[in-house]
Amino acid sequence: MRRVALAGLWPLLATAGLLLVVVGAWLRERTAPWRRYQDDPQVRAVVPSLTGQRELCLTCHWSIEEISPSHPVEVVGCVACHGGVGIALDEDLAHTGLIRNPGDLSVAAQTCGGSACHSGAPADHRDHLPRVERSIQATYAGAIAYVLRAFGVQPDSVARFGIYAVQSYEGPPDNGGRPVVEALAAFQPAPDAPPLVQQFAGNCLTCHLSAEAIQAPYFYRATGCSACHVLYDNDGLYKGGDPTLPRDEPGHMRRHELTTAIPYTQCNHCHNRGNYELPTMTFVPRADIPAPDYLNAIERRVHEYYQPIGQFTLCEWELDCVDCHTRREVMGDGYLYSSQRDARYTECRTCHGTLDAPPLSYTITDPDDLALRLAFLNPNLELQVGDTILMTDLGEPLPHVVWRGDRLELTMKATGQRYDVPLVLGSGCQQRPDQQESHYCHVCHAYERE
Amino acid sequence: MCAMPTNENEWPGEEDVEPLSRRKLFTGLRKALLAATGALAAGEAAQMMAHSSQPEPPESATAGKPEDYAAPSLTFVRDVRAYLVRDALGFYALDAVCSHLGCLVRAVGDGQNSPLLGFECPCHNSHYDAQGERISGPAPRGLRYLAVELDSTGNLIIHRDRETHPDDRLIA
Repeated sequence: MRRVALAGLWPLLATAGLLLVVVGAWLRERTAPWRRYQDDPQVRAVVPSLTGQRELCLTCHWSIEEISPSHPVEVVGCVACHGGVGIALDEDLAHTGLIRNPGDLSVAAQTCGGSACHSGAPADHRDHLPRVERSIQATYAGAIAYVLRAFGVQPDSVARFGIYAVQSYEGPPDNGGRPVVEALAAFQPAPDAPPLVQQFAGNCLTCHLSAEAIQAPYFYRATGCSACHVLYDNDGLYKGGDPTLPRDEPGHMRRHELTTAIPYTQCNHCHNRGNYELPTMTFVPRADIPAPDYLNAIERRVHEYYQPIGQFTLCEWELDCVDCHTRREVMGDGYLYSSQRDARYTECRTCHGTLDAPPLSYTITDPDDLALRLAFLNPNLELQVGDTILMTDLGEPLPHVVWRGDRLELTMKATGQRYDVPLVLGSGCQQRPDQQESHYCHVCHAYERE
Repeated sequence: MCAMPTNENEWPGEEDVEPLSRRKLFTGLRKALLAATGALAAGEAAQMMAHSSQPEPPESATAGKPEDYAAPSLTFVRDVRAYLVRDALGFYALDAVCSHLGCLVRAVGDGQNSPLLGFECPCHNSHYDAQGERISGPAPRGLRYLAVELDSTGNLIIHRDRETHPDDRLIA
């Protein structure tokens, strides 16, 4: 008979069970990990106009910096670049398929690429990614060629191998006659190659855009496009607003930002950090960094910029690397070069002119001029139709060097600091027209670090 | 064989309990639990629905009375992401969404204290003239003209889903 009475309990027990399930779900939701990142926890959603797909990433990363004014989150969102599952709030699920560094060359075609973005037509100057993939910084072809020649594997320094196999752009290059190569094969030393070449392949393929950085102060950096355009401090600490990123863990970008205002310190995360020791084929970091504390900012810049015994002029350490070296030199022009020497074409005369003529310049008349686009991307530059700016021998605009009346003014891309550019024309310079490389200028203008 | 209650309030053989009060107790408890479950679930659902979200622009939105706008004037109507322009001929609306990637363009000049010189996109520097025609930058085409109407209460309605001719004006 008692069993009969208990039969009336089942609906009640079922209801209690349902309540328990709901309470459990409620508790789980109330204690969800994403809530710890906000003082006033709320799910934050955006529907980027580019994808139309709802994303909840900002629920955790709510105060992260916008990556750039050209990639606003309400337009691009997060998933288009970083992948992942945008509608998930669970950390593991949300980060399934996450691309931590969309600028890495292994993924850049799907993240930064696209014909309307950075894999567009060369004529529109939107072929950033294919150019970078062929740049000397990505292929490492020069270092490989020189080592192969040094150890007798090949008879000359013409590049035959790169970090990966790649074809040059088709057609003749408009590069002033500098030598190019048609294709590179992936570098893989033959089993019978000299031991030091084997060691080079094992130890030394660390200085290119696809190589992970040495995880140590002064070396921290990202890979691919981000190696240059996402700034890292020498301590590798994140100093932005994303609450999910630790502030005391080295190896992070300074802030979640893309920039074209690139200081020399960013270039130095790869360049001027040490040397390869040929007898052992190992990398030996510089022993003189960090700079001594007693140095002031200028002295520190000189100290960190170049290694001892290097000769350079005032502007070579006063300015940043990107103030002299152009986008075609640094990011490539789509053609394959055998070495840094062949890829570079800027000379002192590009800005200072010669005894015979001032530097090349032109006046902007087209509102679609590339110079205006480049200036727009840099927060320190202001340029408009009607301005007269310098250009290289190849017609590449230098939007940061502008004629202001009879003054030639350079604005540093990274800092906005301005300098008057002295001209050779009309000066007491003894320069010979056929001697334009910097080492000729160093004869009189050299500054040597102690 | 189990005996069944002979009527709703009677449980035969259960002399030690009060059948009527137990049934009521169970029923009451069940209802209370169901109510609590429903309230909890509804509260959570409501919170989920109230997510801070960037709203999609509606297909149309009201923009107030015509007399609210000086002539000439230029007003950004956030709800429909459009610029409502009043000139000497009447009202028209320009889509504020850049035809390149979808950023919101900014007006150069307010059309009242300073002449409207055009529109510029803060993302990739596309420029449009005061009529919304593309001047420069990566934008593939000009800004869209959106239909403007008066509803039955005399309010201006801007339709994102209806393009119109650049010469069309609402006279109000």
